[in-house]
Amino acid sequence: MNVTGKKTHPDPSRFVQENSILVFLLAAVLASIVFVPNFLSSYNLKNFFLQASDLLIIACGLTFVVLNGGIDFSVTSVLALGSVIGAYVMAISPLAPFPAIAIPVGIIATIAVGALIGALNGFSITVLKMPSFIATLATQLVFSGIAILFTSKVATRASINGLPEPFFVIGGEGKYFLIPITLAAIVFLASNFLLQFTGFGRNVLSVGTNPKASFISGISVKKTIFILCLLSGTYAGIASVIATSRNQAGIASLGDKMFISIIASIVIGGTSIAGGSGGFKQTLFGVLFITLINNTMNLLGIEWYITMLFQGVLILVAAFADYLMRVRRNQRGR
Amino acid sequence: MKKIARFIAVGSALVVLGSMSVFASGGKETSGGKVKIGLSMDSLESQFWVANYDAMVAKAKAMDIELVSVMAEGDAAKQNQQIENLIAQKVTAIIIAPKDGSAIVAAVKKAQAAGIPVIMNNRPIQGTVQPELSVLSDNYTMAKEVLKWFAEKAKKDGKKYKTILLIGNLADENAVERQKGHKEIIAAYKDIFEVVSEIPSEWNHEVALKGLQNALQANPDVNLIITPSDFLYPPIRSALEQVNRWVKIGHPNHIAIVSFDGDEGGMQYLKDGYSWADAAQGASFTGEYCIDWAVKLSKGEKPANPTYRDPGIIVTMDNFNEVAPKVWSFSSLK
Repeated sequence: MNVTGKKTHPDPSRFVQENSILVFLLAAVLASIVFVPNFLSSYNLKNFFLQASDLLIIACGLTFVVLNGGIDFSVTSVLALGSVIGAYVMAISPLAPFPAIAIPVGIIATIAVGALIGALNGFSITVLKMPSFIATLATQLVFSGIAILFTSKVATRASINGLPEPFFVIGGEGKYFLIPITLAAIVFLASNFLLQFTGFGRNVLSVGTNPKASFISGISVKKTIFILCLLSGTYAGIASVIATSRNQAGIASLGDKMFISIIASIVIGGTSIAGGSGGFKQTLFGVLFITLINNTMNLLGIEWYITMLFQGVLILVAAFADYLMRVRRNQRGR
Repeated sequence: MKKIARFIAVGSALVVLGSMSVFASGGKETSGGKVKIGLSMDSLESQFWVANYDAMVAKAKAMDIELVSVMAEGDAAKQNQQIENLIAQKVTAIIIAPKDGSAIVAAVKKAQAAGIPVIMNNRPIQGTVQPELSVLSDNYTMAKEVLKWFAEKAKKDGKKYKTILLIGNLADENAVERQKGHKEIIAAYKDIFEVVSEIPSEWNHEVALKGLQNALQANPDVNLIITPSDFLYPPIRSALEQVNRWVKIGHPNHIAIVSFDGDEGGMQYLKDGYSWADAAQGASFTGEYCIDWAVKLSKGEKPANPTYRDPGIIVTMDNFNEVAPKVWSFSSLK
């Protein structure tokens, strides 16, 4: 179901229209199977889903915010700060010699960093009345800086290694590759459930479409926005745990260049950057599509600058499509 | 309109994907002992890396070797993912210029587990995992040698220097080694060098510029800048111009500069009389050396020594005419 606040009917042409990204994703997968050597190898398929897992989790968090008409630039700083704080707990702190304690505490610390940054964003937006654009850009800068400062103080380098081996299971090392994929699936399903089957989900879309009307009709706009920010930060914290485990190091620059892939997944999937329209299914397809493009382009040996150029063009075209749809909606509304 | 817009967005991706598979350089399956080298670069942030990358591409072309390059754009996690994709396409050897020597460990372990030999290009790996070959500049010795030459000259001339010491990014082992070399000579010639400011640049022009502006403001009598890379010349020049101290040797306002890299900018300033000495790395030579050994490793050959240290060339104002023609950037000088 495309979440637009309206109930849809089982009309095949409408289904194709609303799920065009799925149709093209399937066609792209088919093209990859035919044209891309090694695409179907078990190693590559495992890689593909592992690479999509943390991106999906962080994109789901941001989708909540985007559906609400906001933006959260700080998710990448959660990745970085959560990564180095968690790694510090597991590799350097007094708990480090006791992995059975250090690992769960490190994981909780990483997710807590996300929740705290999310709560701070929520406070700035709802209480201090800052636009999400400014508030999250500021927290992104502050916490990315803290991540680098913290790491340079505790490790004299920009990354912390020496993490306990059992922690790597969460990132999908070896035969445990299903763990991060399952975590991503749970986060996706839970998010979809929240949006489609709860009052909170209806509030998110309502506030995203028209905050004033939502307020008048009794929806707590502030509470909704605060919870969204909290969710976005917490999801980024979970993604940080997986990425840290997968890279086997706490990295102060983790996610530095990831925002473009996150927002591209959401926009290409079909969620409107103006809020009110879209959903997690679209984000899932967008994540799979972006991961597929990166994966297949690497497999095809296409030069890196062409890959960059291609991704940029895709985002521009998707944003243009979103603009056209909004124009059309506005015309209908008149 | 919505259908058309989506069609443009994702349909174009498919068309390009399909067509690229036809034109891609690395799209062929590796078979029958064919050499296919994967090249993972951090970024092309300085002329050194551009020259190093170009030399590898040219060498591979000259040897008729398939070279698949990926660029991490300064993102350690992205670099690990890209290496996973190189492993998936069954390259026969991987050359890595890591963003972060600690964070790259996970990817190197995966490559070696897949039976693919790894060469570290210019930046070493941290920890216990050993690549098949590390091709490195002898940063520590070169940094020592170039500053020792300056110290001896100052001693002979009976001069003392109030010094600004620029530092690279401490995630980069090269920066750490250069800092170590510089500091060792500063300590050995305490009567000549007085370090009034140490500026961590993070390999970032803006960070370096702000640090230099502050240091020059606080210490107007500075008369020496030691930089760990020619890459930092733009902020050095800008900061010195702002205080009218970007002047040639012999002028009363001149600030001496001792640098590292031997790139076009650094060598030009040495030739023009702004800089005193430059420790030149073998950008092109080490790039070609990496390709040579990637081919040999692909064919099962093993190096006698797992680390090759390029001794570099110390170019000074005294030996410029005689030594500079041996440096990779010399042909670009005006």
